[in-house]
Amino acid sequence: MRPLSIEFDVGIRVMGPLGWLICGLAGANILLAIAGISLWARGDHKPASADVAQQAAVSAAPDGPFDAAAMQQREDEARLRKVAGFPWDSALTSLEKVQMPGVKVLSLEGSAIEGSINVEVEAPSQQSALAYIVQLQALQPGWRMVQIRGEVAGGARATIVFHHK
Amino acid sequence: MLWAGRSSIDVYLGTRHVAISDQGAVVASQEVRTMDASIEALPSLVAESLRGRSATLNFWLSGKLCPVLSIGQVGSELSEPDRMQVVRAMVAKRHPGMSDADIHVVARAPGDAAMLAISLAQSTKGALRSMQQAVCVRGTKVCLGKIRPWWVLALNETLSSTPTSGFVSVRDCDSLTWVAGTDGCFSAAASIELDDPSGTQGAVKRALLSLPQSPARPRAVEFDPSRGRAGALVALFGCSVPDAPREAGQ
Repeated sequence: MRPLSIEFDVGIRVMGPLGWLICGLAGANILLAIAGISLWARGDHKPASADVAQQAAVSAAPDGPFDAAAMQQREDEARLRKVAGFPWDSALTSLEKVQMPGVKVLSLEGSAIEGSINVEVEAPSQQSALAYIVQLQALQPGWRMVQIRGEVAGGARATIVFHHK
Repeated sequence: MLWAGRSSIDVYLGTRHVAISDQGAVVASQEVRTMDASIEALPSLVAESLRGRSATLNFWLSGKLCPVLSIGQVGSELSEPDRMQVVRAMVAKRHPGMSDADIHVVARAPGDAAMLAISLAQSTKGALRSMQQAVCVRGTKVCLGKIRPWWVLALNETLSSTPTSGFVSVRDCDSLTWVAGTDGCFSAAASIELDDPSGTQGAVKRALLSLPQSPARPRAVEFDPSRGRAGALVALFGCSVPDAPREAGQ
């Protein structure tokens, strides 16, 4: 036998290096937030209403300065917002939920930039294809069917194009 | 130094007895009936012992609160978390109430997969924290220090005086813990709850019979509070070598 050394802690642990790192990052975030708030409080930040009013004034003036770079930036931002807001999850969920006998989704193609989804389906008849579209639109009222390509009536493959409103 | 003013005191805690040792002398000792009674008795004993001083409380727990279990080789192909899950299940089966325990494992032999598992229930740790708060409410600043099994101290003290002993049994206020082994290895160990101190000899004999070989120089250490505070000090905290330990199995 040999002497034993058994010792239990009381549950109050000293932070390890990872804990200190996390605390440091959290502290840095807090400092940045405080700095941002103080800058905002000093008036460097213009309220949104003032920004809109300035933009309106610039647009209204026929000979006002035309800031192409700013306009391009706004367009880029709008595009980014559109892409980021494209409802991929809900669209895929709806496609999974709609179950019609004989109707099979063959492919799915979507474009967040264009805001459209092309669903290629195989339907046995026109009625079942239309019922599929109705059910899909019932689940996705934000979508609008813009086009059907193919031979739905003949029971062949068809591509249904939806646009996100 | 900033911490120079904080002293430390040793607290023995069992389900039948609580005692406090300050600077090598037992300053308070009380028999109790249950674990709850032990926790209830401690705040006043600690506050009276410290008399306003701040201190760190080092705990020595009885074998019932901190039992040992001998565990064979647990699947060497298992990952460490899985292996600990198996150990935890075995501890919980042998000692009900230890399902969520903190478990300290010691290899029976260096590099061996067989182990001794020493456990401490979360409820006991929670009780100690509650006790600390109760002491602080009384105006005495204390913090929790180390938590250790008292039988380990008694075992180490016995081995320091008789290093060739192959079997040591330690009886404290509510349990008997025995450890067997040779040459730096442990062959078996167990903690047995004792309702009646008179069952000690029988429990030791059964432990000896369960071993494959008769151990060399068996030793028994007993805590006997009836011997008074000086005796309790020796037996409780091992501040000196236990006097004339009895031969086990006789």
